Amino acid sequence: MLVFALLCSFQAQAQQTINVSGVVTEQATGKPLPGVSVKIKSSTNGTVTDVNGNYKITIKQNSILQYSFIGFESIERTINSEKADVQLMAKQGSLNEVVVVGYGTRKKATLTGSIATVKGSELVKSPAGNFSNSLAGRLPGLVAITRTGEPGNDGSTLRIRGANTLGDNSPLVVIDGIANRSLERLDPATIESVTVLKDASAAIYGAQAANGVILVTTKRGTTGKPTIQLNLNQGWNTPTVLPKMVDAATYATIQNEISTAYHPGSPLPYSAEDIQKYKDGSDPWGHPNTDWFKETIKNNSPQRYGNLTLSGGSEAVKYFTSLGSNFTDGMYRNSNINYSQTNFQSNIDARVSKDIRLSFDVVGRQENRNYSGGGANGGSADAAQNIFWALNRAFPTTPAYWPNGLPGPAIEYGANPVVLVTDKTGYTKQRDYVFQSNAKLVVNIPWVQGLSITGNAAVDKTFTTYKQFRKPWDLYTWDKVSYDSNHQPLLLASKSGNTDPRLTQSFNLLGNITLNGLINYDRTFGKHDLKVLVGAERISGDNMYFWAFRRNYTSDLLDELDLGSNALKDNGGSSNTPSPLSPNAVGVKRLDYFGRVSYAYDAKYLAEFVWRYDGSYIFDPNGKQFGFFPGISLGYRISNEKFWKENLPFINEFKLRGSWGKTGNDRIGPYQYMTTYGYNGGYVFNQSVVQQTLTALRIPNAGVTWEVANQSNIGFDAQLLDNKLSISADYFYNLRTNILAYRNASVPGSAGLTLPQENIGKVVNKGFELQIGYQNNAGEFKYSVSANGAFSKNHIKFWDETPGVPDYQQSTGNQMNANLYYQSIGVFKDQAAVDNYPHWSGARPGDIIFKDVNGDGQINGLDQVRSKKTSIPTFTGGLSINLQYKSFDVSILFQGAAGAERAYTAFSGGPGVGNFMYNLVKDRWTPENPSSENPRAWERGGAYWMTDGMPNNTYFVRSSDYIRLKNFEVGYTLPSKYTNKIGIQSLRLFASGLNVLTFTKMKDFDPESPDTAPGSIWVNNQVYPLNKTINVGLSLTF
Amino acid sequence: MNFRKINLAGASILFLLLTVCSCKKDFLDTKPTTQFAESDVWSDPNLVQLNINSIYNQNPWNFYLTSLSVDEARSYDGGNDFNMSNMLLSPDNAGWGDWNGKYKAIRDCNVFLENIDKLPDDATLTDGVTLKNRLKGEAIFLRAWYYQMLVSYFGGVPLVTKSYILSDDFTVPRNTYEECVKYISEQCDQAAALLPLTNTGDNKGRVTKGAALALKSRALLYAASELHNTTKFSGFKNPELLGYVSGNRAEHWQAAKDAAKAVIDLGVYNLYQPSPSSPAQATQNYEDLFTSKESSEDIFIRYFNVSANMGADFWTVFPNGFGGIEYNGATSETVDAYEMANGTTFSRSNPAQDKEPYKNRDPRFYATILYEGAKFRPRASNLVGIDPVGVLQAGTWEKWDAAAGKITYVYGLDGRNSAVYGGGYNNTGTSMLKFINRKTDMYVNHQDDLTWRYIRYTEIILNYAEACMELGEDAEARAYINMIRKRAGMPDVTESGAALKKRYQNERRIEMLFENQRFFDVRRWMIGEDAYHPMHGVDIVYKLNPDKTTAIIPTVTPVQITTGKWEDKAYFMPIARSEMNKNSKLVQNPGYN
Repeated sequence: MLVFALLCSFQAQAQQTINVSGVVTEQATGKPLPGVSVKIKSSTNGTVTDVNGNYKITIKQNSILQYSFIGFESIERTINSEKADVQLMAKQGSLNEVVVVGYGTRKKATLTGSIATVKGSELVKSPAGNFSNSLAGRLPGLVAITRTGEPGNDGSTLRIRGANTLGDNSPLVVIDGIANRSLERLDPATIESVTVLKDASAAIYGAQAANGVILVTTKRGTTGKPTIQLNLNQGWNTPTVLPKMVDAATYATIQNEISTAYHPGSPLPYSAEDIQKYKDGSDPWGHPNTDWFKETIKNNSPQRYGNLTLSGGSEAVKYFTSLGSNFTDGMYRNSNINYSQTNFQSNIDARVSKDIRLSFDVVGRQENRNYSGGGANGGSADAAQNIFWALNRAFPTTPAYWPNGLPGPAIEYGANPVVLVTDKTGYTKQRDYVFQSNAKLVVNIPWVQGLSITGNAAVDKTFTTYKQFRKPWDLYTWDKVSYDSNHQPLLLASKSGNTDPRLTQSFNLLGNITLNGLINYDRTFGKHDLKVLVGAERISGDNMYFWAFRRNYTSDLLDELDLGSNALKDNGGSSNTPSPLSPNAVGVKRLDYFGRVSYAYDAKYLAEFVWRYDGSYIFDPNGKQFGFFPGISLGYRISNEKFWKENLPFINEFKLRGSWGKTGNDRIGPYQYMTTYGYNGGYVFNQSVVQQTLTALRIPNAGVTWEVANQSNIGFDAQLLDNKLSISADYFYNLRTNILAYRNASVPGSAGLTLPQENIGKVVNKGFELQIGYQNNAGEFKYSVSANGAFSKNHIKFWDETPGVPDYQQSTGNQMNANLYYQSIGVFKDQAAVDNYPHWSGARPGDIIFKDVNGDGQINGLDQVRSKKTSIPTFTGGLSINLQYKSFDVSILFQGAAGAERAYTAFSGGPGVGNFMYNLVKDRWTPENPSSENPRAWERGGAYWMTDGMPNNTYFVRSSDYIRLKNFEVGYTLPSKYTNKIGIQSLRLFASGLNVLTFTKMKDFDPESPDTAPGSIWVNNQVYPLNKTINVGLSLTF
Repeated sequence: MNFRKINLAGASILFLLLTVCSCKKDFLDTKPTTQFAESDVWSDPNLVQLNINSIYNQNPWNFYLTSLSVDEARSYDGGNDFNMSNMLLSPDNAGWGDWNGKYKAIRDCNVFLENIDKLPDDATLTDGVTLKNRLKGEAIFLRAWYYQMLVSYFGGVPLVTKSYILSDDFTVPRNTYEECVKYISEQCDQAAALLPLTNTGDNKGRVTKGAALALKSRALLYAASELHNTTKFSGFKNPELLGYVSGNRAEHWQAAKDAAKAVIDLGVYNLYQPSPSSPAQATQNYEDLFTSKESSEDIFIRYFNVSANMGADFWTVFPNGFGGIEYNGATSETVDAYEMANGTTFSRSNPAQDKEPYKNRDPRFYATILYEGAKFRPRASNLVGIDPVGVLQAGTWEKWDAAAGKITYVYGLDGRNSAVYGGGYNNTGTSMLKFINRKTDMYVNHQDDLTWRYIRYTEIILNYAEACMELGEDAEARAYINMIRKRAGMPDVTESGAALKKRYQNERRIEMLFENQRFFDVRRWMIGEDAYHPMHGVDIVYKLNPDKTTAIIPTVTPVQITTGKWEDKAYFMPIARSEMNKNSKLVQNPGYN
């Protein structure tokens, strides 16, 4: 390198030379183009542009420079000044882009499958802490739903083309060619592109591909001088929405109403004086008014992200290395809850000889998850669940802190949320050490043109250590009458939570080895273009887990296993089985053979066939382990026909595509073909002798096999108006058969069976996707707009239906996981109204009226109706706008979803069980307000329409349609004339946001928040809410 | 071009491809690492025994099995059986009786009995029986045990005696009540013939001949009772599902009497401490019986072992101010059912009894119910200042605040307004004491040792007495009832006829309180109205004396704490609508259509 530079300068002195610099930009968008090759014609000398499109080169006067870049028209310029800015035009729009497909790449122009792709440069605009959250709205057909914002657990649920099965709907994730890696913790600065295979093109991944495949490709080095880029971000998170609870005075009023209704004649729990004091705050000791959410949750919590990359290379060796780190603080006050990670990536490509290339990739990452001690309510390790459980259950009439600053009493089980979030309860520390590596060797066989052999060996390991130290904490109670000698209320301290300090420590080792070998034959004969791939792959995974527990620590200052008491200590462990630290781990073994044949004639008629012969350890070795999964796709670029060019010149490109494929889904528990017995706790004999119990774990299902997805797709890609406008559309029809489901709808309990899953379900999922993009410029104002939308709706074609269930309750014909609800048709105004309509036994005025659906004069389980909607949206879409004017750039992403509904949950009612949600009680039925459309305030177990916070009827169901400003970014790039002087190539400052604005009818909960259980009807109110993020940052390139 | 290099690379790739493709044929043939194959289980006597342990383990247990679903106890507001109390039980909320759980256990028994003969024969005798016979006997007993529970909740149920496989037709009709009782009774006999008279060593806790005969006694007593020999449900088109439709009732009682006598005649069980020296001794004996590891009454028991982390969780029943959540508080109705120590009934209209309701009661009261002021155990260190003795404090003290010139209130540590807020406390004004190990310190460990007695000898004595009484043998009945009363330190009963029946029923209610009996007794005696109505707790106030000091003796006033009513449908539990839909041959119980 140095020698080369010296040579250059020597030449410059010797011959009339000039130092040329300039920036290469994309004509359509004005964006700088990195990696453009700038070469002196008829020489081997040249350079490439850096990440901001800048280049510098020393040439002889009047030399011709060639600018070339993949996917763009190359141009030549004769240079005779020191400044040479150049604009490149994309070749036929984006169709010459190279798209990553399974085990290879394809030009977009000749793609035949339904494939969506997005560049890393788009995704990096999102300030989301979790990479999966930045995918929402970017890829048509990919539904990304963020369920929670808890640091460290904030990944999105990803669905390709909605839900296809009642089983596992998650897509296969392939990172840099290696399957079953996770994309959640990727550093966005290292991402080159993300591709989604939605149709038969996924069949090359066989038995794991039925839910679609997401391919992530990381950046690699390009030829040129070393480029260093630094990104720094500082953001602030706030919850998108928190439930609004009533204040102490309203709470007391409602309690009086309940008492009047349920215990007429008994004295009211709160006097008018009490209510007044709650209202005016005149008695903070005796009559506090606590907003628990406000007391526990900060106005905003910081997050930080920084990344440094170094890339470059020569013909012989190219390198891309990246070092990144991020930190997200929990939203709680005084909290020790947070997440941070440090990650390292190195991708090196070496050209050993003309025909041998070797790549070596290494990823290292440390993930730090810190939570509080877990605390109350039986000590679940899920900190957020405990905290939000307590927040929902707390009374506004109980102080979070006493006026002297000491924490107030517990709600139940020693829980006071303002303390639960702190290290007073101890801590939970989880450390994940992720190591991923891949060695890849490519050999071109010199004596057969177009033939190459590739081998990959990838070793992934994750080590997880977990340490939870749970300590008793102090809470303070006041009996409301005792005072100390200073006439201050006398507070009683009490230990809460655990009775003694307890330590749980565990370790998990998870390993995965992927070996594959590929033979590629890639050859053009005249107008015939043939590409053949044959490969074999073997995947094996294992895990090993153990844990230990001690308690009765004499001091909570020291937290080592050795220091705990020997009494009641405990431990355990297992291997090749799911463990709490790797819930999906099992002793995976897969053996696969696969291939692809692509043929194109004149780049006009396109055909592709993919297949995989997939073997999986999950199924019966007697003939059930292997399956064959083929996929075929065809394409026709009509626009390349002569008649098209003559008649429809304004449509620059038009390609019709069609595909059909068969893929499998084997994500079920292994060994269901055999009866096995496992330990299931102990039983005591002879006063104290513990013996194990051994239970049959399942009824065997010898025939168990894959779910099969038959995927058909038809679509087109078009480019119009000088490639300024692009349109892509797809229609798909997926028939999923052999769906593994429990036959519990028809097998009566008296059979006593613990049912295995059986291949019994059939579900059709169909829909369409549309993507439209337009880009243009008006002088220095450049803009691009891209909209995508996807609709998918499933219906059950065959299911295990309970015999004798009326039509309106059957699940067949409806969407999967559609629920049964009683139909709310108002509120009983008075006793006469109750008497006049069939009602639930025990109904009283103010109760919700259930419709007598079957008209039998009584209200019972037969009056429930299967809903047409579920909690999964049927329509999702995104609108992305990019604007640039001189040094300013703006990008905006709106994202929305429709067609889903959610049912509210709310603790509250009766003494002892928490506060009321304002929106559910604000205009409630009371004897004085009998015409209200809203029901009376309820007691915990006392309303047939609400059991312990869980409603069963349509009154509590809300549409969760929403549109949100998912992302925005505003950037300013300092003029290079200033920055160059201080040795900086480029400096860009920006501000960005995530989930900035949301428009929805859902109040109190985010429309994306999760259900209480998969497929249940209720919004889970015991989770950490989603984040709204505001972020500022800078990007610096040397 | 350097061909050596290429050869090297080519060779390495070839090697790679070979690794991938030429894998051993059994590469995919893995086995689960933490599970046993079926064939291994049935040939190994140790594993077979562990398998039957899992059927024992499905036997339901907690401190309030059915107490909160009948008039024995009430809990915190949400913890009560609201639907049962208010007769809102229906096929849409049918969880009582745990139909599915019982049939799951029954299937495990069926599978066990279908496979046990694969176990190699071994003639070695332990406690007088071979291993195979003992295990067979245990499985037959357990199957009968689960069926007896089902029948007690539902009446006749489908008798499934083989294990289904996936391809079977699962629809099956309910057997008649008579068939079910006959089946249970015969199975008990079969089990009794196989099981040892007593178990020793690590087999203690497994069932014996006595357990099988005792189960038969319970089943036949229930069958002879009013509920299964009534015309109450004559409008119901399948009365044979609910009880006997023919036969001689006296024969049923005779069979019940004989079954109880068969247990007595085994001669291995005795009443625990049958002759106390004083009422105080009787109280102590009664408490010891339920907190001892073993007793002479034990027929079918379950052990707990705290040092192996398998203790019973006393947290749910410990008083609020002692660190628990006080789940099982005796209702005022229960407290009032205890006789006075002299054998007379307690009455609120007796001014002395009304004033001090906890004084001079049946000695068993003091070992069963923790009442206001009753000594329990030392308080936690931060509360010793408030309560140095460690007594139940559910009441409120009125105190005179001279400075402010008004009454202030001090709330007891175990009451609703306690400064020690545990959450979940009941509002009966009492807490449960029976079974509770007073040594347990909630602030150290919620769990402690316990021996839970599913069947104890006293029940057999009472069963025998009841059958005799129903057969008109009052003298014999009285003799056995008075054995129980003597042990309790209570005077003999002397009544006959209907009066005796009333005394007997109350005796059983008191003696077997919280032991999962009354829920069924109320039904088989058909006294639903007596047990289901608005329930009461007590309001306890230490009132201000005229001289502005605070009373030492609290005023204890019953107050209604829950609503309640009775409907005859609740004599039998509803079968879940989903189960009815899945099995077209089922007939629903009366009142649930």
